[in-house]
Amino acid sequence: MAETVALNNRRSWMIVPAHDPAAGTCHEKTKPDVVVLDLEYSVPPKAKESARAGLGALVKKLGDSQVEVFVRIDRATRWADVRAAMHRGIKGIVFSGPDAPEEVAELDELITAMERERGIDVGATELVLMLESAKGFWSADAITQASPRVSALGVGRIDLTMRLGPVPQDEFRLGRFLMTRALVAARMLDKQPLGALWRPGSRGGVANVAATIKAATEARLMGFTGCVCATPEQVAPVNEGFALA
Amino acid sequence: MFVTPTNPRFIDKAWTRGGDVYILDIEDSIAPAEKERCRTLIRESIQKANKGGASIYVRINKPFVDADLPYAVWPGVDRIMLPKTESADDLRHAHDIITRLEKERGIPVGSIELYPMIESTLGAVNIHELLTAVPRKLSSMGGAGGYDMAMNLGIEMFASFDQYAWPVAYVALAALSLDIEATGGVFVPNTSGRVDQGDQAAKQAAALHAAGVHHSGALHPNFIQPLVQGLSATADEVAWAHKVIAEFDKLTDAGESVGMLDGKVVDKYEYDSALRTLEWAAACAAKDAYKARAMSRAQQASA
Repeated sequence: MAETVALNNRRSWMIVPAHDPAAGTCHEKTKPDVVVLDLEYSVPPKAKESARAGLGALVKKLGDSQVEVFVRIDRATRWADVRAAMHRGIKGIVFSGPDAPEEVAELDELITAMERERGIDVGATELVLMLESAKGFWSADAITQASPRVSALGVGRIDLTMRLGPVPQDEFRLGRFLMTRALVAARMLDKQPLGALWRPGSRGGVANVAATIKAATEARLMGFTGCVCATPEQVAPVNEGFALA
Repeated sequence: MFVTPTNPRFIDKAWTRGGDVYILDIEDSIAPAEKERCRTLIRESIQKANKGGASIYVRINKPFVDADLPYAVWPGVDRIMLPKTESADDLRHAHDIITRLEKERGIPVGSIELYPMIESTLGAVNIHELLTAVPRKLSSMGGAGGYDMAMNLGIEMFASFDQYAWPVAYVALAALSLDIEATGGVFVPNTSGRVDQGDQAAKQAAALHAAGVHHSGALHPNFIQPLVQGLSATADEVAWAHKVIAEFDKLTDAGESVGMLDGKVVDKYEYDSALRTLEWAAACAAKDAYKARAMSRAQQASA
């Protein structure tokens, strides 16, 4: 394995659409703890091919700038996405929505093969799992133990997959329960717990600074140490919310 | 809504109340001395209660599964509710009897759904095994937070805070992981101890609707209209869903994935959510239309 990382230093995981022409310099202004180049839903279907093709140069450039760079893969196209993402400079892969341990084990093997092919230290590439499905939450422990690469376990976009409804409610038991389930699995297995209890107030609500600080602070009080930032504007408030008081 | 078949005042009028479902009860609303008579009334009660287009469920007794089922499994019954289910064996036993009765009575085999009610800690802990026990359509597990669970846990049911968080969520997660719809509820404080107040129904419906839960039970007719209204998709929600879908289609055509509309984010998630809103609105409209046709036929017949 590569050098031991102080996991708690990774508070803000900023999503950057991989097809964005500015992706290579995205971190300069907001300075997130982690840059997550996205091949998932922030990339429109038409741009997926070119996004994959451009990843090699992007990963290398960001890696050379000492940025911790991860790539978020699309569950439906994860095999092609991993192949496209694995270049020197990559810190790890973010896999959203794993359903079963076998999927994680299979990805682990593919990553190992790519490490050999591309001259990356074998075993150095981390895997971050973001739970999004009921099957995934049910088997959270087994999924997390399916690969020694797993360094963080988080709660992804669960509002639709877990049928949390138009507006996830403060009092809705399932949301809080799922957060706790992910936290317990992560702490038990010594992984970084990622997630935040984001309540936009309405569908499509925009994460303003105050709401983001609140969500991150609550998440920290629940035991989480970082979360995904969907926009650059969320980086500063997330860092603030997760900073130890 | 739960209906007692032994009380003509309730069972004869139930269909006029506009409920989506009537649950013919042989369990807790029927006194022990009345159980035998109640069983013999189920078959005719089906035809009385479904006149307005409602679905019909029958709730049987845990200790009398063998005695109750032959009186409960008839054409016209959509679902058998199995209270206090605790083990896979409980479900297998009921499933076997229902299958035999379906064959004997000319009911398509497997067409009657089973609804295991989780009302104890043991049932909650065994939930995954229980939900994979029989090859029959199971419906959701909503019973995880009622009187019996309160008794089992030794908690005060009418409290101002959520006592049922763990069993309800654990049961809901197991159901969802097996692609079974979970209706596990939302906590709405009720310290009154009463179950007949319409404003409580409206509050309950609003909380459930906001959390995406589509069903709720009632013990009193005053609950029916607030629940039907509060759980349906609103006109505003439908209008917004259409706008989101149109906007996302435009974004996709333009090769973009995230946009803004009236200060709100439009992306894949909002698009999927909008589609779901329209699906639910269509399902509500279909049920309303079906009930309206049945209701009008029944009114003509009784006029």
